[in-house]
Amino acid sequence: MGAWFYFVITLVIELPIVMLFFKNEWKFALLIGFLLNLFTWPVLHILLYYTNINLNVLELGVAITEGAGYYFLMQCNWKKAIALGFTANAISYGIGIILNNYL
Amino acid sequence: MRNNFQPSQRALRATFPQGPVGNLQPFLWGLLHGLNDFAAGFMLAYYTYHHNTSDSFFFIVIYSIIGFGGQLPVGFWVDHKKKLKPFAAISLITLPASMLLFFINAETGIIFSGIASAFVHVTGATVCLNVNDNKTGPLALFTAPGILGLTIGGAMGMFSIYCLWFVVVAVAIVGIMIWSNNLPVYKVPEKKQSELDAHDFIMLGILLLMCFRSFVFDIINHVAYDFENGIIIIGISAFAGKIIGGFVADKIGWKKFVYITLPIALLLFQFGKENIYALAFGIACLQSSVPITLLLMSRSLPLYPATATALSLGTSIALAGLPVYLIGNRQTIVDGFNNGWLCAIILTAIFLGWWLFNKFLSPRKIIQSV
Repeated sequence: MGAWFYFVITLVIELPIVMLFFKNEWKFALLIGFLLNLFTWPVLHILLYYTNINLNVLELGVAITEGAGYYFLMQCNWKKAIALGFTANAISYGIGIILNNYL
Repeated sequence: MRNNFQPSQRALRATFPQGPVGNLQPFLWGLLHGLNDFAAGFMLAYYTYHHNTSDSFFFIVIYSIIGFGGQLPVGFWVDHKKKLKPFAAISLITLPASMLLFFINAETGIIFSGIASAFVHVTGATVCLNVNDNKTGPLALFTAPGILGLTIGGAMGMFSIYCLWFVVVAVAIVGIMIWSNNLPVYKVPEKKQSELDAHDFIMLGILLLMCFRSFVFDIINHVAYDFENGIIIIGISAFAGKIIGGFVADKIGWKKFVYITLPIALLLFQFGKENIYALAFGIACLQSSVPITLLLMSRSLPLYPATATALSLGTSIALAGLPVYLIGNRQTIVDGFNNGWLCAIILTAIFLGWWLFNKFLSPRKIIQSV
């Protein structure tokens, strides 16, 4: 249940950022954002449970994967896609750390 | 100096209205369909090997309800939105996501596999209907790999769960190719009010035929358990039947093709009960009409291609599975098949089909409706 809670929190944090980056086609961007998170979230958890890779490295991988996903699926500038991937994941990861440490 | 043998842009556009690589879409969606059904078959079989019978049966039913029953709402949704891109994105991402979720929680993985299945079937077939140029061959390329994937996936369910990683990678590669190869836009012909009355009848007739066909396939599947490798042989023959059927029907005409293959299927089911290869050939003949009925259904609902697809590939299979689900006991089904009543059903279906095709689907009416 904990893991699912974090997934919902991640969506709540990241999807508004995705909408901000794609104001003109926010509906499609929202769908793509949700789908990319649906893909990266289980990958992150599988690698976290089954391997010894550091969480920071995994988060970096998630940001790059999501950036590539936005570039490919939204057919936007790659700088914008990578910026979105890193911004959204940095904020959600940061809030995750705060939640874990202080709540 | 200009090369005189270089085709002009106008000639290229005339030859490839969707672009030179547009025709790859049915093949790619067929691959995705095969991978989707492989993943579903694998997950359900793996779950069955590692859980008790009642849990396994429950999740097989859940998958069927979502994967087959869910196609109709997805079809309505696609026809309402009149866009293919968002639905293609959902298909391409929920499928690998379902496999990855299966590692974390098997039940969630199966539920998402059902969702992915509904989207892959409806979106893929609608894409194919948009590029098929009124031919059954491209539809055969899309429909055939499903049964093969399901059969092989089911058979591999006893092996390690890590098999799914290869499927995830394969889906990612196919997905990238689909997305970068001119995904067609949703298009339907202009509305003609006068044709709508007859279409209801035709649609119901075709739906009835498809239900009969799926029901017979389910029965033969049960019978095949009694033979060594029976399920795999039946799966391969269904795959081959669809592929060959789609392309041969384009060559000789679908009507002639159905009139030849359905009686052969009837004879083989009647006299080949003891021989798995005779049954397999019968199944190939029976399933060869799948691309044809998909095309006919889309012609009878020209304004709603995704709904037509959902009725062909989802609703008919779900409805046909109901009697088998209600009977439950496999021996009763096998005994019923041995009594010969199945042949009576096929005979009825053939005559019903013959009557419906002659009454409503004369070549002139088809040309008018298209």
